[in-house]
Amino acid sequence: MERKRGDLILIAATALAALVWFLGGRLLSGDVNGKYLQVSVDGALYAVYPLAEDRSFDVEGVSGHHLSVSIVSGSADVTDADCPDRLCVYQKRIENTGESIVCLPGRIILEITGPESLENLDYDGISW
Amino acid sequence: MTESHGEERRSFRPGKTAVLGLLLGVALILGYIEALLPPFTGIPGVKLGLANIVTLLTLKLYGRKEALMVLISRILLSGLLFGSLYSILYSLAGGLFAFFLIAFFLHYPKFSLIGVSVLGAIGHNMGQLIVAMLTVKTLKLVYYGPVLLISGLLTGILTGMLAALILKHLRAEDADRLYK
Repeated sequence: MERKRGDLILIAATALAALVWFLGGRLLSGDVNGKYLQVSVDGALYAVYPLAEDRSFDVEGVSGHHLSVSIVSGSADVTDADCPDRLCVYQKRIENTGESIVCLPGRIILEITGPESLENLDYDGISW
Repeated sequence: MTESHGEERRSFRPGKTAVLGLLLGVALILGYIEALLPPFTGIPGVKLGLANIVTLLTLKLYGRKEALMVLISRILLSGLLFGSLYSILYSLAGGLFAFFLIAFFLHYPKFSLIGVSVLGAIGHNMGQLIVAMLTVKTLKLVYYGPVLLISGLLTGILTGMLAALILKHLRAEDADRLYK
């Protein structure tokens, strides 16, 4: 098949541009400023904490359920819960906008809010 | 573009219209088949772009005007059939951006069809990225660029190779013979 020198240069240049773009984006997006952990209980806003500050706190849900939540270096996690199955403790740490941890028995929702995440976009799925 | 191009323009040739319609049909089907494939990357916007093969073929077989006609018809039709107004908007942005890059570099001696196709795929993805950023009014999507660059690179190489393979077996004379 016909292949030319310009093709290789173009391919190399694109790969390089992508790498530089990626690394540049990494450096810039490292900051967690603008992201918040939003805690709601039974549909009502309970508390909002900036993700940039490390902290630990307790959340009291409905029917006396308690969760222990910690924010460490830009991500939030449930460290302890007093419900029997402790599913929320086993869920992975959340750090990106839109990610959430849900405790059903206590009706507690922990959610990251802030700058838009890519997943929320209405992308064209058909005639791309 | 071939020497006979001016001559073609003067007289209406139903056969050519038929072949262009055929190409449009192929482009629509390719786009549809692609939509049926499971999203193999899980990243929104990363697609093979098989319909781009038809754009490359039409450009090589006929010319810019014909290829642009097939492209716009394809986008409008597939948008109306399978998509929404938004998908038409996204596709037009990407498609036209890609088309002008491809059409401009088609006869640039340092690129083969693969290079031209890569340019088109990258142009397409960047065009859609820009429209997406304008639509949701955020610059945060810039972080999505590298993914689109790399995916454009890979799919561009693939579609360029496929188009070159097809062209090897189908020359302009053969296409002409279809309607002579």
